[in-house]
Amino acid sequence: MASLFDRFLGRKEPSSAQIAKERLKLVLVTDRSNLSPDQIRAMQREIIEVIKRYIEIDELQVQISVEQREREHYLVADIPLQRNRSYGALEYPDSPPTAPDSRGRSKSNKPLIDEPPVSSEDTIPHQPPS
Amino acid sequence: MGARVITITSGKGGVGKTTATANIAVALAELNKKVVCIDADIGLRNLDVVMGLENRIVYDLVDVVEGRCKLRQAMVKDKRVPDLYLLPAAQTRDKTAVSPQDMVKLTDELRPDFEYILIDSPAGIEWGFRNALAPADEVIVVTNPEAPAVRDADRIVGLIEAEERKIPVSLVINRAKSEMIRKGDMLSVSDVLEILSIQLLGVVPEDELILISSNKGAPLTLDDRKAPAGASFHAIARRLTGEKVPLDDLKPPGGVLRRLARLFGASVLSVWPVL
Repeated sequence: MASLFDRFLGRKEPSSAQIAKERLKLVLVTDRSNLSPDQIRAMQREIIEVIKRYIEIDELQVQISVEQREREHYLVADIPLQRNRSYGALEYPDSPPTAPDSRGRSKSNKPLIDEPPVSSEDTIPHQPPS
Repeated sequence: MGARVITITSGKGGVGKTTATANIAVALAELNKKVVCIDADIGLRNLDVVMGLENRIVYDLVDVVEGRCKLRQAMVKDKRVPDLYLLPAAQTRDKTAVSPQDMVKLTDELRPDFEYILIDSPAGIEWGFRNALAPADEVIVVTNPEAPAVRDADRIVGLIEAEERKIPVSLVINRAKSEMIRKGDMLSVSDVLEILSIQLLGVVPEDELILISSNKGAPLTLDDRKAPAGASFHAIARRLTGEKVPLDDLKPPGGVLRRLARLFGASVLSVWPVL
């Protein structure tokens, strides 16, 4: 358990209940959708491929997740478009830093991993068993 | 129409379905409701033992379905409360001895004479669960605040939602340990609700008296109103009757000094983390 000192410095290890909750959410993506994690990653790759045929996107920032609102589920895609390409040469000497988006996601351009991960909040809709 | 048929199920075994069924049934009977419990766990019956009626069984559910006795002959009356009966499961048969249609027919026969028919479902999602679900007007899903139980509860809720007829589902979170939740070592009520997104019927704290009561065959709701779990089951029964009963506070055990000590040991924000 984190000490008072750690808490003071804002250091916080996730509690075992938080870990359980995140693991549970992830496993329910698979349970509810009948899709394996591999299939979900494959679906993400294919969605990205299709979109890239039409429009330039910031591939590393793509997030495709399934959000749960009540017991309804939505496939939600956040796909940032590549900026300043089609317009060409307009450039500012001091371009302001990119505003953090509402979800507070990291805007780092470096890929942390090879493919976009399934976010920990992912869940995929229930499909009635056939 | 008569009775409401309420099926109590969980997916995972060992979360306290049978205990919940017995305690809610007794609590409803103490509210002067006419109640019958049906043990649908054929081959692994236990509701009789938890209720303390095991020595008075003559016939069982399968005997009724197969016509060896009248329905009334198989029903065991609990003499400790005004109007409570048990229809025991067969112990020497398996689940396929009864069909979902049999269960519908059986409950339809009971409906005019009762206000509540509680069906104790077996664990799992197969035949026995289908039998228990078939006649249900409502379902209570019992879970514990731990990942495997919540996962199985999610599966059960998914299966019930996939049914053609819409069956209202509510949740009982059983065996909650306030101290562990406070420390962040057990899923909180809101964690479980966030994941399952179904209506909360009640939260029952872990309580050693539950084991003692099933040792004795006397459900906690029979007399011990001070027992935390018993009080929660009483509250659940009253909510079932439509009464607005505020959710139980899972207060951490201990006196003022211990609470103060905790205040200094933990951040102030985590004092009431239970809900």
